[in-house]
Amino acid sequence: MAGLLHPVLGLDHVVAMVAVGLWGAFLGQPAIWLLPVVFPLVMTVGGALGILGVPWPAVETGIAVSAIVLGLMVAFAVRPPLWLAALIVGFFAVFHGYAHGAELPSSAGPLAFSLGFVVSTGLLHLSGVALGLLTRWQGGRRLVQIGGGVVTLIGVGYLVGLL
Amino acid sequence: MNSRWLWLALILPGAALAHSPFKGLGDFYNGILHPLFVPAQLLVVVALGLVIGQQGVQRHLPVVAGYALGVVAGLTLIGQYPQVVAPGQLEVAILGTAVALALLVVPARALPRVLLTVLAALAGLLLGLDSLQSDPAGSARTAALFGSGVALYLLMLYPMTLAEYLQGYIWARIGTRVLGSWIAASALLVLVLALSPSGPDVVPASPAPEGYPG
Repeated sequence: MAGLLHPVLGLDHVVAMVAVGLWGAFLGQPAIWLLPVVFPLVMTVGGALGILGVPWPAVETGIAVSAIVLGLMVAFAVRPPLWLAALIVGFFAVFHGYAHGAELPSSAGPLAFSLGFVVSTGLLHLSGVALGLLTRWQGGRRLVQIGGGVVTLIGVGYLVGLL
Repeated sequence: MNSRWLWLALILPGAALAHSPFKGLGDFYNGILHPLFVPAQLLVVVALGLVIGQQGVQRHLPVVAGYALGVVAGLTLIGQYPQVVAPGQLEVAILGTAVALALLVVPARALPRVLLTVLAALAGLLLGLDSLQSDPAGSARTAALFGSGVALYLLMLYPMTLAEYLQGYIWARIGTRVLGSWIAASALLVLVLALSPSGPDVVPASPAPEGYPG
């Protein structure tokens, strides 16, 4: 349960993960499913660094910046090549993975914890994808872009210490 | 496995109750529950089921047979020679197998049947060897191991059948791959933890509820 709750207890985590799904929906096939598949796997790199105690600079800042960047991508409906989108998402996945991985050694059941936070993260992506389906309609598209703007603002709030 | 002991265990449930980790449940049913309470085993079983279902069951029946034979071999070995593997000794190998199988689910590419059969047999062998409960002995142990074998086989069939049935739906095909990436990621993280310098102290061997030996 602690693993399931870990990603949803930080608003910056939540909005960044939802933004991954939203962006995937904007990018269309195959990004809509590729990003949620790639993210957990790349997240393990960050998780491994956290578990091994390898110093990683500015983890919380990286998470806040991930919300800003991913939110901006959604807000402006940016459509880079798939490899670049995967690279951006993968880069930020390392920060999110590090934050979760650092908690793993102190958990009572590491496997249950890791399964919990991976599933929770994945479900946040799927929530983003589901919301992103609104882009099929013109009005919904605007709504999703506004959502991206909100994600960016929350990221800025965390970065400057207002949240 | 000595079949006389197995039959004896099955016809004498009263005697088997004496060694039940869950009091009153019986050794056979405790054996059935064992894989459900060992997350690493569950991940291997689900990942294997998904990969076989993805590849198509009809063309991969030898893989299913390889898995079943591996489970039987592992259970027989550990039943006859309980000291051959210490509890928790296979944790890393089981997690590694879960990672390997789950990573095969992610790209959803056609795989050589031989490779999959070998992997399935290896997975079955490891799971069988990891199924020993510390408490039961004699006929009770045989009953518990038999229960674990039944559970390991049936638990693999569910995700396999589901994965194959859902191959007709694009969202389900994607869902299967997402599930594969979740299993790979979570198993890989714990594998790193187990292999890290502080790993052996923090990764419990076959996590199980209180009073239920791994």
